[in-house]
Amino acid sequence: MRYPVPVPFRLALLCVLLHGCATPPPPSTYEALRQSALRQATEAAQRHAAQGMLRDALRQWEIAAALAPGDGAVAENVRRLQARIAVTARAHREKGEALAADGRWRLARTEFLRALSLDPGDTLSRKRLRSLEQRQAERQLAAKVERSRIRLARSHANKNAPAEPEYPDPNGHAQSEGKTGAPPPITADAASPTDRVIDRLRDLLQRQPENFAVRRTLIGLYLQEADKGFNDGRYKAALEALTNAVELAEGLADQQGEIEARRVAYAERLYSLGVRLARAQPEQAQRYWRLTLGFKPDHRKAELRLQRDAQL
Amino acid sequence: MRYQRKSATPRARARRARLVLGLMLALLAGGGAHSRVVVDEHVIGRSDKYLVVVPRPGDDYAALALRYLRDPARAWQIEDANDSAPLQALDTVVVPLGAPEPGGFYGDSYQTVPILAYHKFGDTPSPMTVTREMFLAQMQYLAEHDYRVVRLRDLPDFLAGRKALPQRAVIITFDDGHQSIYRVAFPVLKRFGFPATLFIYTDYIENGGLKWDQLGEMIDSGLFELQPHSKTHANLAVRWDDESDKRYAERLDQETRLSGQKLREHLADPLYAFAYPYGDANDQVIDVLRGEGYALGLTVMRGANATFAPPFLLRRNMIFGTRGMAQFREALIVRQQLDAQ
Repeated sequence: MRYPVPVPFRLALLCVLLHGCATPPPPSTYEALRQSALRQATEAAQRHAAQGMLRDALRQWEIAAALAPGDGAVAENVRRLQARIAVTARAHREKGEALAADGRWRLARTEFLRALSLDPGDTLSRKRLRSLEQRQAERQLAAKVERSRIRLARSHANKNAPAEPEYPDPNGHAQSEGKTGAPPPITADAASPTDRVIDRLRDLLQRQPENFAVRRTLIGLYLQEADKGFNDGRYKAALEALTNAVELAEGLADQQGEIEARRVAYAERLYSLGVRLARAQPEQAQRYWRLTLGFKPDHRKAELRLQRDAQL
Repeated sequence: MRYQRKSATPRARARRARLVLGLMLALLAGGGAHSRVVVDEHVIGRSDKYLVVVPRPGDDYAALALRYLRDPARAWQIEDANDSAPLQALDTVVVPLGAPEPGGFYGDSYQTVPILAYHKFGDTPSPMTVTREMFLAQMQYLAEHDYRVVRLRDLPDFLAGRKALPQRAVIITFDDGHQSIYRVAFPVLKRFGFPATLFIYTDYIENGGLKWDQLGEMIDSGLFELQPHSKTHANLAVRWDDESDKRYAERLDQETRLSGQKLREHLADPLYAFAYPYGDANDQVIDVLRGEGYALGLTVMRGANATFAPPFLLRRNMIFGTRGMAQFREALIVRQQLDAQ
């Protein structure tokens, strides 16, 4: 017996059949893989959390959440870990700030690194780390520039020598093989010997705040750093070193006098540089006057010059 | 018994046909939407951040990136999310859906980007001259060890914490503009498809160094970009004897502004990076470059650059022709421990 079915109904039936065929239930092997992946992610998350690697732990919980979207316990773990990360990152940042304020740069650096590793959007830690890196790089570069200056002076003294220095090996090694043996391992941020001494003395001062001999030594080191920075044209580094010295010189009248003398001398030198450039390069001149005020905020002449330029 | 169909009016038939067609379309649309959610049975986990998928036989990371991220160039993001494990070794693969977190922090360590600095190439190695064989071996090493050569122009966003770079990112640069870069390095880089930045001092162009038509060919390949390395290659951080402040400031202005100007006459690409001659700089040099709109300054201090590296004191590792592969490998620092000092 034949039942004639209208064409649209036949098409509809075909459509329903095809639709059914297009989405088969996932094979059991996929379910087994999902369970296995979920177990691995959960175990990895717990392992990372136990090791203090909180962001890695969070990532694993988030993967677990993708594998088990309806699992309330997994979602709760994600939420808790996010909160823990925020608190821990803040704690590291605050510790870093305290250490930096105390001049203990190496330890501060580690704390800022930990803060930034937990919260990559932490602009303050990024800024602090950059400023530490900058200080380190400036010092290293100044030493290199000094080597270049000496080479250049030598080559000028000896007419037969090349007019410009060869590229120096950045770490001061001989360029040919075997002259000084293998170079030391490269590090992105090796601390300078002076930095290390300063860090150690700072540590010591933390334990013995009344140890004036340590304070005097530290002040002496900072003044050396300031002189070196100023003579190399690294005025910001010089200012920073001088500021550190000022903080330590509280109650030490003789040291305060020495620091003040430097501040005045530096400020006057920068002010004069600005005056000499005032006509030809007003922008450079203003830069020098601003630096003058950095060293001596009450430098009246520099202030007036800047005010007058602003009015013009 | 024969089913007696009641004859319908043409209007009723048309209405019924519309209804059925509508039903069909709804079913098809529903099926389509469903298949968009499911995509395929290989997806076993899904959230707004990740997919967890079972790779198909013959898949590679680029195929997964094309299928799930619709961009094969994002293969490195999947590769990095799976610790660069060979795909064949994985039962399931994590596909990160969003952009990777910028900054390159991995729990107990952080990313650093090494920048390699080459000068010239020749048959006889010297500190500044690398042989073709050595350069080829070095590029081969990068390719075989999963290093990803990225463009220098990606670095400002990495330094600003706006963008992630592949975990094993490396940047290649050449200084000065020697002819041998065209003869030796260019064909090798083409072979590997590695991009590079050429820092050139403009007085050298057509005057012993590369010629404009060679530079044009290198830029047109899409692999090279050109950035300034001063006008005369004089050391900008060292003052000449009896050089007054004024003369020094004028010299800096000429070395930076005129070299930029000459490159701009021939190039469409923006200038954003300056390699200091001899790698030497000071505050004043950096101030001048900032004033001229540059975003990066490159030294030759050894080391690699983290996301918080100072943009005008970037470190580069010079590759010396008299040192072997060991020195080259040492230069490829792509990760530092958080607690390392």
